[in-house]
Amino acid sequence: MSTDKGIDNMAGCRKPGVVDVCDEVQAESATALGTHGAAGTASTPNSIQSPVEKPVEKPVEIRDLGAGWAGWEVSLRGKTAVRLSGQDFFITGRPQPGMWVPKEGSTTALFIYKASNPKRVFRLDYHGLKSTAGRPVWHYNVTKGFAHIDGLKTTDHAVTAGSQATGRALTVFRWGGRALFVVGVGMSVYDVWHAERRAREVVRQVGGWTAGIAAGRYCARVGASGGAWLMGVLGQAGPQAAAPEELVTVPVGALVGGAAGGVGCGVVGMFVGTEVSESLYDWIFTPLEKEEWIVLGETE
Amino acid sequence: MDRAGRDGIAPRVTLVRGYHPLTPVPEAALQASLTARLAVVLDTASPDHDTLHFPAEVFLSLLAAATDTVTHDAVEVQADAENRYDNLDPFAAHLRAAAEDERLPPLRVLILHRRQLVIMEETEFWAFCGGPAPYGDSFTASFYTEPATAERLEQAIAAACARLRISIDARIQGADRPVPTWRRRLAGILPGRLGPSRPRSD
Repeated sequence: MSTDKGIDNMAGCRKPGVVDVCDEVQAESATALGTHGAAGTASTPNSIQSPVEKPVEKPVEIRDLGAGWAGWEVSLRGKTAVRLSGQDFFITGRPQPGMWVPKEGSTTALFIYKASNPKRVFRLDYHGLKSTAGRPVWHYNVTKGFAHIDGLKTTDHAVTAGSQATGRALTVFRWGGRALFVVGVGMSVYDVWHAERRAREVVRQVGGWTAGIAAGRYCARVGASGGAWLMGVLGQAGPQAAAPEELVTVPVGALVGGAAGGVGCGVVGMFVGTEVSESLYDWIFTPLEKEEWIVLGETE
Repeated sequence: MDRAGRDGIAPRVTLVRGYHPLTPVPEAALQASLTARLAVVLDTASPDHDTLHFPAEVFLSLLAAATDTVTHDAVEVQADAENRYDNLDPFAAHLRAAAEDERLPPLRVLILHRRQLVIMEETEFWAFCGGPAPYGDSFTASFYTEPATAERLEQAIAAACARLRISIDARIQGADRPVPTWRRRLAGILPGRLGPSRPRSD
């Protein structure tokens, strides 16, 4: 599973089968994230420098997003390694061991936490606040250690346009992915049940799902890379300061891009897979013409 | 202790009597018949801080107030998985010596008399996972006592808050007993192995 591999690969940047967004994102997101080093060695935030002039910092590294349109759920709920300002972090959609979580679960949709200490965490949360008179809102929460370590200027309990957009996007993709998967399985079962030649339909569906998942997983990686790159570019369009949104947007862009790529290619792959499987089946198990089976019957 | 104390702020507090479906009730409290719950919900949001804030001195004062409520001969502080203290003072010293970033409430505090648990404080770390109102993003100190002691404990906590000049935002009445979650309720109506376990004879 991609999640564990991503954790194991924290030490190295390039490994076989590992998506490494850092090089592509690096130049763009250096300024988008404010590029504050762990010791506060910030570059001039308003200047956009070329990668050649400023090659050292790698503020964001995202590796091994093994998502597909069937695997999207896995990528969101699993853990993904992220590197921010020279520190190893994980980004995940569900609480991890070491975090205090009640049995009924957490209201947090996104955790970015220090690899060595799950209690140093940046969260995207959804529940009522006193500042909103109890009305549930998407907002950011930051523990002391996280902000200190990363050097980012963040505001706790911050309700921003970015937190709202990020929370809604995550919700749509989270439930949209599940719904797509359930609908797809339901359609396959229906098709098999009502098929005149069930064996042929089963082969069609198996071929379609296999190709769909394979294509989805491949495109999810490409989409993750593209999504992170796009967020990095967009991050430069606004004020060049380190804001909570900019901490979240690049990883989330990778997740959303991965999901979009996975869904798109998954649908195409499914279509191609079913067509190819059907052709192969018909080629191998060619039905006899009437004259042929009459002749065969007479000879026996 | 003045209002600001060492923490620099006066947190807002909500008191909850009783249980909510999400309350993680410690088994030890139920076994000791400490069925009355008083939760002190400490708000972590502060205009003076841009991160979640743990008011350590306030927490210590509340613990001390709760401890003084009952006759006891032993206090055990389980600070974390590795560190335990046999009194509040060494724990307080440990907390004060730690950097502000490192300060966290203890996992639980056991107050005993003749080896019997008389008050149990169980910390709920909602600050790490969000959670619904009124607990969301808070550090909540849940005190479990015998019903006969509950009123006295609440008065002591309220008096401590008044002494610290902390405003109690709200007093919320929960259920008298632990509330089963919807999953448990659902399991209760399912037959066979998915159904609830047999009720205990006690």
